[in-house]
Order: sequence, then C-alpha cells, then structure tokens
Amino acid sequence: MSPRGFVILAVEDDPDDVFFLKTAFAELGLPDCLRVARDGEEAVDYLQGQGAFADRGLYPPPSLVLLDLKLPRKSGFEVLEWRRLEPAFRRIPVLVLTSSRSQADVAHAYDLGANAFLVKPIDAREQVRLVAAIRSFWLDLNLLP
Amino acid sequence: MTPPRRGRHAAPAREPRRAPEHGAKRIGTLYEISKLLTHFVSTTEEVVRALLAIMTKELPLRSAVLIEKAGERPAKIVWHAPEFSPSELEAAEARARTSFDYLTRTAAPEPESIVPGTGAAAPPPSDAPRPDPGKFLSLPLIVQGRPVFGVLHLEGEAPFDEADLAFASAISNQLAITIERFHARLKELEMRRRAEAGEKSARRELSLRRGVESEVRALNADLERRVAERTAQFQETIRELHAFTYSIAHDLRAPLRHIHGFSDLLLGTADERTLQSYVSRIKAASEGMDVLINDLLAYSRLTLEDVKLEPVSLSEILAGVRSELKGELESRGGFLEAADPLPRVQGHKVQLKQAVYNLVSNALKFTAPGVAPRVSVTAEERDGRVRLWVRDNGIGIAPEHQERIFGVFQRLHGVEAYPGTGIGLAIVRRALERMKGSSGVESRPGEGSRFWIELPKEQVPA
Repeated sequence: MSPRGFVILAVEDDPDDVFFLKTAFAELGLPDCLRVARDGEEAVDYLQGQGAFADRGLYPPPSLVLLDLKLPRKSGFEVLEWRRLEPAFRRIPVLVLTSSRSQADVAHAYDLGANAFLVKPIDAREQVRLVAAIRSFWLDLNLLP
Repeated sequence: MTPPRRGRHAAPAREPRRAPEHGAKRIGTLYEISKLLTHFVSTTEEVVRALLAIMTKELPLRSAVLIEKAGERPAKIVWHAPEFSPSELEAAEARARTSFDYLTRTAAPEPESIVPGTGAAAPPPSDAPRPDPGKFLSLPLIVQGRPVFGVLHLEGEAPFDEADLAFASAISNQLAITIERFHARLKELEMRRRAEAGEKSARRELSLRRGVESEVRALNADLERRVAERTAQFQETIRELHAFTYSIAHDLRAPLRHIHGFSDLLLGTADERTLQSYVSRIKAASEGMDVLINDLLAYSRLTLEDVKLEPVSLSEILAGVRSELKGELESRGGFLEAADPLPRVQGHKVQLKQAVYNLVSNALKFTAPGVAPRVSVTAEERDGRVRLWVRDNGIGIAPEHQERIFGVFQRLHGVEAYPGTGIGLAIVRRALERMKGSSGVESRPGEGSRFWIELPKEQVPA
C-alpha cells in the first residue's frame, strides 16, 4: 500500500500516455500511488492478484481504476464486462480515460457499469488538473466501498 | 294457314280404312318403336331413319321430312319413295319447312297438337304436280311444356285417315321425346366434357399458377437472400467504417496529443537530458503518425480501388518483398527462405505484394528478444487454389486472439514491445477478400506462427 493509503490502477497501453500520467502523479506528490497494466488481460491479472501481479505488497488492490478503451488483447469494454460478473471487483470505481468522445462509447461504457467517462486531455497541464480532480472527488469526497 | 287442331286423342270419326288386326299390328309396331327408342343411344338421324323405315311399312308414305332444332343446329332428315322426283322432293321439303316455320313460331302451341297437311303450306313450284292436300300430315315435335322444336312432315299416296293420324302422332311424340332426350344427353355430355375440360384447364391453370407461385417464391427467396447478403455486406462495411472512424479518432489523436503534451513539458524543462528525451518523443510521435496515416490510406485504398484479377507469379511477389525488407532482415540478423518456384495465382499484383509484405514483416517483427527471426515461405496447391504459408519462429499467438488480430487497429502487444499500427493484418485480410481469397493463422504461444493466404490458381486466358 502506498504511503497515502490508496493506489490507482491505470490500464494504459500507450507508453507516452503512461509517461504523462506518471508525470502528473509525481507533480501532485503521489508517485507511489500509480500502478500500470498495459492491456486488458493485465488489468484482470492485476485485479485478481495473479501472474505478474501476484505480489500484493507491490501491487495492492486499487481504490479505483483508470481504464483506456482501446487496449491490446482485451479491450476496456471487455474488462468492464468481466468486472460486472465479478462480485469482488464490481464495486471498485472504474473511470474510463480515453481519447474517444464517441457518444456510443460513452453510453456503452456506462451501460457496462463504468463510473465516469473522462477524455484524455491534450495539454500536459490539464493532465495534472485531471489527476488532482480525480483524487479530490473520488478519493477525498467520495465514500468508497 | 290452318290453326292446329286437337287430334291425337280424338276418337276416329269414321271407320278405320284398314282392318282391326291391322290396328293391333300397329300397336305392336309402336311398342317396338318405344322399345327401340328407350334403348336408343345413337344419332338422331339413325333413329329417325329407323322410325321412318318402320312407319313406311304401316303408312302409305311417299315422303317424310323431319326438321328439328332441338340441338344447336337445325337438322333436316328426308326420306322418300324410290320413284320420287327431285322436284317433288323439293316441293315436299318446302311444305315441310313452311309447317316448321309456322309451328315453331307459334309462341305456345297446344301440346301434342297436330297440323294435318291442308295445302295451306307454301305453294309448291308451279311445275310440280299439286298433291292432294289431305295427303299431307305435319306433326309438331314437342315435349310437354316446352316450345315446339321441330316438325315431322309426312306426305302420303292417299289422304291420311284418323287412325293414320293417331299412329303418326304417337310416333312423332315418341320421336320428339327421343330427340329431346338425345339432345339433352348431348348437352349433358357436352357440359360434362366442358366441366372436365374446365376442371382440366382449371387444374392446368392451378398447376400453372402453382408453378408461377413457386417461381415467384423462389425469386422472392433469391431476392431475400440477396438482400440479406447485401445487407450483411453493408452492415459489415458500416461496422468497419465505424471501427475505422473510431480508430482514427482514437489512434490518430494519440500522437497529436503526445506531441502537444511533450511540447508543454518541454517549455518548463531546463534539464538538457530531459529536453532531449522529450524532443525525441515528439519526433517519434510525429513519425508514428506518419506511419499510421500511410497504413490507414493503404487500408482505405483496398476498399476504394478497383481490383482487376490477373495471373501473378508468387515468386516475383516474394522477390520484391525480399528486396524491400533487405535492410530489416540484415539488421535483425534474420533469414528468409522460400520455395522456388512458387506457383502462379489469380490476383492483384500491388495488393498481393502488400499482403505478403505485411506477413513477412510481421514474421520478422514478432520474435522473442534476442532471437534471430527465421521465416520460411512455402506453397501448396489443392482443388484449384494455392495456399501460401509464411512460417516464423516468433512468439506465437494464443488461440483466443487469432481472429482478433485480423481486425483494424487490433494489437496484442504494447508499442514498446512491438511497434506497429495494428492495421497490417487487417490489410492482409481485406486484400485477400478483395482478391476472392482468404487468410488465416495457425499458431501456439511460444511455437511460432504459420500465417497463410489462399488464392485461386492462375487462370490462363484461352
């Protein structure tokens, strides 16, 4: 567990996007709070604490998940579908974080139980603001299960 | 014209001219006639002739003319004594016709009335000897309650007496019934024939209609099938278009976002090494975008371009691919072996080369770290089709991903491990579809992959 008492799992295949997220977390003084899964299968493995993520000390259960939709192996939608049927993970908030602004994607994601739908900001400053907002709303204001 | 006079049942006013035994014989004759008529199944003419033959034995006849229109056409039957002259016959016939005209035009003649020949008939031709009016006897042919439909006109050697009249009218009545029955039967037969014909034609029409209906059904089914086919094609196209625009929105925006993001970071960075790394990431993003645009264009060209199929040599295609991948092969320390010669196929040179290029370059790309790629290309022919195999010693693909990888922008690996746009195999599949071929893969993780494409054998123009 991170010193802050929470961990956020980002499911993101793009190394540049991972870099921006890491930069933003570091800037907010939360460098230890970010874990990354690089595709849908890894996300499932992480949540279940299996495979490369078996070490719960290094990879603690996340307080929330940032989920990209376009992912190798298993898409974000597939991860959402899987989660819906897993009582152990159904209540972990999943915030979709993607490039897509497609209304169909937004609707589909909510239908599959996503808790929020966020569009990746184009500006690095925005990225920091986004992470800060996520933290203040979802982790400070919001009551987690 | 003398009005018809009641006569059949009228008692003879005078003594019969012939002996009583003669009358008994006539009764016997009448009985024979009625028997004959009861079993009569032949034509009117035959029965009339049979009757007349009998009558001439009993009556002193010189001629007998029957005119009837019970059927559809009026009929005339003439009998005469051997010595009868043509002019006499003509006169007799004319008198018969006059009686016929008179009797049949009478709207409602009294049933069973008789018109004895009285000479009131049309005058015979002047050169003919004028017969004694009492020698004519015109009997109406009538069946109870129906209009007169004919006449039996008899002319005798001597005037007819009451007994002759009774006898003749009995015969004429029988004759009327017989003719009527005959025509009724004819009519019935005709109706039945028509009914049968109608039934047959109805049946024929029905079977014709059924044939037409089943043809229409077949056409409809065919139409429906084609509509379903085209709909499926459209749906596939729409689905693809959707995936395409979605991917453009997602994948094309990513490098832009990255360029923007790193530029932002660049502005707040003083450290030379960090600066360098940001600039190189910006460069990489813009290069990635260029590759992506090229791949997207290549893929969309597959849909837009007209594909004309012609004989293509796979050996030539492979030689071209090998020369284009020469640098890559050398830098990776890879090895590409190919059967030679490879068969010729029916395809499109540019698209086939693009497909083979993508397969071979994938085979070179997806190897475990530190493993030199070995790619072998072979071909097999079966049932007029050629299958080209591209085998590698790469990382392999789990069965659950083997179909997915042929979709647009589908990737199994992060770009860090294996760069690419995720369009390569989509191009392969689409190109093969457009060339009336197919594509696929056999693989197991860790055991390399065997990608294949299949095309029709070359068709040598006759």
